[in-house]
Amino acid sequence: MKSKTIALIFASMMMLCATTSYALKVNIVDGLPYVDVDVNGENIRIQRIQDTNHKLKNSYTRTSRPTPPFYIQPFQPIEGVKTVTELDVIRFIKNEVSENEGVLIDARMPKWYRNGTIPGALNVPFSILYGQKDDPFVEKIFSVFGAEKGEGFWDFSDAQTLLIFDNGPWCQQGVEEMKNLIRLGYPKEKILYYRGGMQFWQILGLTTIKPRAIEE
Amino acid sequence: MVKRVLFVYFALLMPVISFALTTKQLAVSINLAGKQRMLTQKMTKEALLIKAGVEKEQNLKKLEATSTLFDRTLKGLIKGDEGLKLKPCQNAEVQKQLGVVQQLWKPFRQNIMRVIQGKADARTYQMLQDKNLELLKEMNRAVQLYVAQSKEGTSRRAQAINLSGKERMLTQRMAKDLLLISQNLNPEQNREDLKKTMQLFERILRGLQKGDKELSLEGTKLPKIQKQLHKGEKLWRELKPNLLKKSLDKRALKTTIEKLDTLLAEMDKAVKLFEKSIKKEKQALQLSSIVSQYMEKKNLQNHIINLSGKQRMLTQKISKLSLLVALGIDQKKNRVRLVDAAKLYDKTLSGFLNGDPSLGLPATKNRKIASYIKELQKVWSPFKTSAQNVAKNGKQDLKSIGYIIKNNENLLKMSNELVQMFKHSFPKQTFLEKARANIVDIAGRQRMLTQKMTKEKLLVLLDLQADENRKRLKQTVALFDTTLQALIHGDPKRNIIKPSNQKIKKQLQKVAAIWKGLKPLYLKEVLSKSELNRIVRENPVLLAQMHKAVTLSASVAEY
Repeated sequence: MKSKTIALIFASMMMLCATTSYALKVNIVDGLPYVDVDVNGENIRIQRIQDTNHKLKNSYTRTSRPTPPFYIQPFQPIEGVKTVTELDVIRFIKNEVSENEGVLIDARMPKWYRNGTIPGALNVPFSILYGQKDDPFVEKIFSVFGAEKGEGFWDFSDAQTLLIFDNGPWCQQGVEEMKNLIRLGYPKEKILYYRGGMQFWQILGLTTIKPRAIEE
Repeated sequence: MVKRVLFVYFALLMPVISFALTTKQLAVSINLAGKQRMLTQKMTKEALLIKAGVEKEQNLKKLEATSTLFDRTLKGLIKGDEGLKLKPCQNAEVQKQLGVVQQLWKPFRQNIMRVIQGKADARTYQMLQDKNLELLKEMNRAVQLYVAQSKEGTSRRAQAINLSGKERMLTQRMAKDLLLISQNLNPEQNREDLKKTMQLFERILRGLQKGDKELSLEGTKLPKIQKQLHKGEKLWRELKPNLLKKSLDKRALKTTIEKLDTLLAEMDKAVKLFEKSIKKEKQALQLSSIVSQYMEKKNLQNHIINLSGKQRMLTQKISKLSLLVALGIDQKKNRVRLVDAAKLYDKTLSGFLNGDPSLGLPATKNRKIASYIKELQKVWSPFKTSAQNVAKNGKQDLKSIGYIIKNNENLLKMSNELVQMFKHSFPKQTFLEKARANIVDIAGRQRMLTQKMTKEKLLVLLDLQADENRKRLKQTVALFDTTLQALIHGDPKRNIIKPSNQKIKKQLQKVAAIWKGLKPLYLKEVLSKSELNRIVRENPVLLAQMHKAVTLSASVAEY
């Protein structure tokens, strides 16, 4: 009995030590210092920059870009498509992406994606979906998302949920991508929109990565 | 650039890579064929448990279910099974190997049925004992053939799925060996087999966690999988001492076998985590391949617009060079340049029509464009002959020089029409793409204007239709000037976005600096010899710097 009690106290102390060692100065939310993401077999840790004096120096510090096309996007640009926050994105990565039920999509052009993106995001540039249902690129992308092609229609019952983002609230690329997906039949309830995009993600000091080319 | 475009050219000629069901079906087949290996050992183990009288009723049910599943899966692998999502494999080698497995399975199954029906005797169990490893071996060979068909065969991460899958089988093999030993059936040989199986299990487990070069395992870096493997390792440490004991009583034997089953379940969870991770990686690979095919196609379109735009410039360059020859300026060099410019125009025009890998051009499939190019070739043919004549005969060939001066504007107009036809033949452009294409076209036109204004200046100096050419020159200079300002500062009315990219800004400033020095000379009525020389010398520099700005406009991420 005595030895059991000692073991229990020891185990509790160990657990406390473990929790303390993981506590960070700048957390995502209370009790959540980071989230681990599987990026092509590599573990990437999403957390916030710990330097409280850190300031952005890249192009996301810019306030103004010429219009058109850089108009401010509405909070919910498409009725029926839910707009989500950074916390929803993190939850989505942790749950849906991890279980292969969802895909986090960077809708910007490949060069932008390669310059830095949210860990776990895959690149589907918005302009690729301008074709019709029988466009070879559209067909291939829908297949990759798990949609099944029937006789003249697409069955989206097993298709993955897509969480789409772009540069931020001043960027139209994500919205264009969602509009095209819906035009091509992708169900609205399987699409989510992260309006904050790369700008808000970085303003909050969240981890970004430069995706590596995948080796076959 | 040419190499890249060549790649694009051939990539587009290649049949489109299909990510259709075949990959999915193959993955299902590999998974289920792999599971069959484990089932061979599970069946044998369950038969031996029945023989030993351990939870007989329960194991009879299990054996029936396991053997039925093995039989159904084998048939499914050979002929297809909708319920199991199996399609028959068309590969002759795989089919042949599955035939070998089936031949072994038939008598094996008969003996299993005897156990289920309670008709088993010593010979029945002997047969199961003798043949289960052969069945496993042949099934494993079939799995290898399936894997060889998929690209996964070479991937280290796929090897993790394969070997963690094998661990499931090894748990059942250990349980079977343990039962054979406990029933005193070939104990020496089975103890040896158990020892080897344990070693292999342990090595693979360590390899999955930390890597093993010989086994082609890289060790997982993913905390979720590490945690799951750690669970398996903990269980393994608990049950290993029992496996090493010389003999186990009935209760210990039962507990050990139950723990091996739990280990099987834990290893199965690890397999599923590996599978999920690889599935994600595969999806990333597929999307990246689709996107690069798409981008190559887009780049090809820009390349065609760029080359067709360059043709406009060549019409003016040929005219300018002919005039320089006529004026006796740098005769030798300019005659060579003239031949080169004419050759390039000719080659590019024919490349648009018939395709030219060295220029990265596929033959046009657009009938309207093809027929227009043929018309253009008719106009180009005498123009080309004249250019060749000027290059050959020099300034005394006034007839050819006259032909070029008379017809170059029409050739320029027709060449410009071809640019517009190409531009409109690429549909489904987004707002940004349209704006970018417009900038590439306008900036591209500036290249032509550099040559046109020089040609017009030379015509004025030669007093050839001087008044008309003076007027044209003023217009050309003004157009170049206002367009350059629009490119630098933006012009919403002309759909020209002000560049925010530092490289483009710098490049346009460079052009502006050269232009600042040249512009007064183009507009000056009487030029000294050194001023004329400066135009002749710096005009190609202006062209080259403008060309750089065009290339940047077409390729940078942010304009």
